Amino acid sequence: MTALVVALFIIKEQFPFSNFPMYSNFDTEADVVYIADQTGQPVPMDMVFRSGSSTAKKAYKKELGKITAKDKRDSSDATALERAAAGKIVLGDWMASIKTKALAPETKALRLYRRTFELAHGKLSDQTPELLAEQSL
Amino acid sequence: MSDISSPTEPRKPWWQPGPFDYSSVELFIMRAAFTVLLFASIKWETAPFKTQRDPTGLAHFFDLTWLAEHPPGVAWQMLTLCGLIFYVVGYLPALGLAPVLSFAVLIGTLVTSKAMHHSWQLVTLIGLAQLIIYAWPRSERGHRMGLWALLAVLAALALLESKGIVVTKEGVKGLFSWLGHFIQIVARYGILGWLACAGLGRLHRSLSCGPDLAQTVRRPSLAVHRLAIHASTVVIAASYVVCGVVKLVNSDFKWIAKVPMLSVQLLKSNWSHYYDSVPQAIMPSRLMPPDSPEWLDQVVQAIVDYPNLARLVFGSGLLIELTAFIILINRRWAFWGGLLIVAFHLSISQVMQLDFNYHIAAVIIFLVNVPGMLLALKTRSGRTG
Repeated sequence: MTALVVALFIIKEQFPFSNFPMYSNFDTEADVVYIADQTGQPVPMDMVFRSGSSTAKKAYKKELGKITAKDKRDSSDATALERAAAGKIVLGDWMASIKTKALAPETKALRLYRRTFELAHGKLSDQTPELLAEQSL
Repeated sequence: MSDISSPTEPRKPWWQPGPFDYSSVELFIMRAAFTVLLFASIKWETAPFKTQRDPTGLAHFFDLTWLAEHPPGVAWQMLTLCGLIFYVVGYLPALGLAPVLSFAVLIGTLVTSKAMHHSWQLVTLIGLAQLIIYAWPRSERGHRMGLWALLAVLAALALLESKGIVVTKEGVKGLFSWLGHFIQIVARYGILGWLACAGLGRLHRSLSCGPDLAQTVRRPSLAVHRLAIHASTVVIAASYVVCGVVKLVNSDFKWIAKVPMLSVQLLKSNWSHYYDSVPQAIMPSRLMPPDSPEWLDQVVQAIVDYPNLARLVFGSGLLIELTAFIILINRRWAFWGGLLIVAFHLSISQVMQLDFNYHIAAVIIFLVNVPGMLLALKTRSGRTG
């Protein structure tokens, strides 16, 4: 078993191997990424895209990481423009697997939002969701 | 991997665990239940996964998006089911597992190459561990060839990875920088190769005990089936232990101290679950999403208000992960350890809306082992050695 623990630790995240790093480190801030219609009303992502919010967030973080890695910066230091660029890629990717029938007929466009939660001075709060990208249907 | 010992041999100490003394009926039920789990864990609907923007595993070398263009239909699924029947009855189980595991690895790789997901790794790894037990060559020559093939693959992977080394410095500094990266890669693959040789060497010694080797591959003996289930238990134990170790390492050993910050993660995971389905309109008066129970607001606030109590509660979860190796001691430890892991997942599911149903199912099949539950509670050791 020890050999397998060491192997999984070294290999990290290469399917089917994993070191299961979920919630292994956290900060006073955490964010979610979701998709909404043109009015900002969230759409049920599982039904519309057959993929959920956590998957979208991981994809967004990866894209943002690629953008900031060019200047050897951490993705937490990304500018609004860089966040928008990563959001545009993710929304475009998600639109490719859309099930339009699952959307309300009045939906004209889709938006990708990022919502951040924070713990500061013993108080929990959330910020106004940040619009990352928008794409017409 | 431990050697198979006959019941007449002296009992090994708890830190040298071996296969448990499962009966043929228990093993049959475990294989049948695992068949359902393995088949159900595959995301057969591959159409949404048209890109592999963040390749993982085999996707680094192969474009698997053809699976999205041509999702495996009923015929392919029937083929895997036919193979699984062979596996369940214990006749050519390696051949029976091969089709379903091929799909599990290929589809799992494609799906996780869109964004990482941790639902199925454990189930696929258990399947692969069983496949190795059933298929690994019994002859000395076959064993050596298998090892050389594995080492050749690891060497090729190391070479490919070393080609991707990017050096920004110039001159001698650049050369040393490249050398540093190269040594890291060689060391990593060297350790993996050594671990593989050690593990497979022990497995080969266990397997070559059989009286008729060819017969063992075609229709494995009770001891080989027990070893396959033992390998599954080892995979479960290692997965939980590494999960605990990573928590310590990634947090600079401050995971327990950081537990109050989990309150933000609870908010995040509950909202993430809400955005997946959006069943109700948002209520501005609550910090939690409308589909979550109202007591969760109090739980999240309690984590902030009573940090030491939160550390105690969530720290016990970390302890369960780090000490998961206890499930290898004997059947009784496997049973109680299994129940503890199930309770751990159910509590996470309640407060974080994160469901690990495949993990729970695997634990119930291989650790709780409902058909053998009474035996597990009665026997003192329940090990073959």
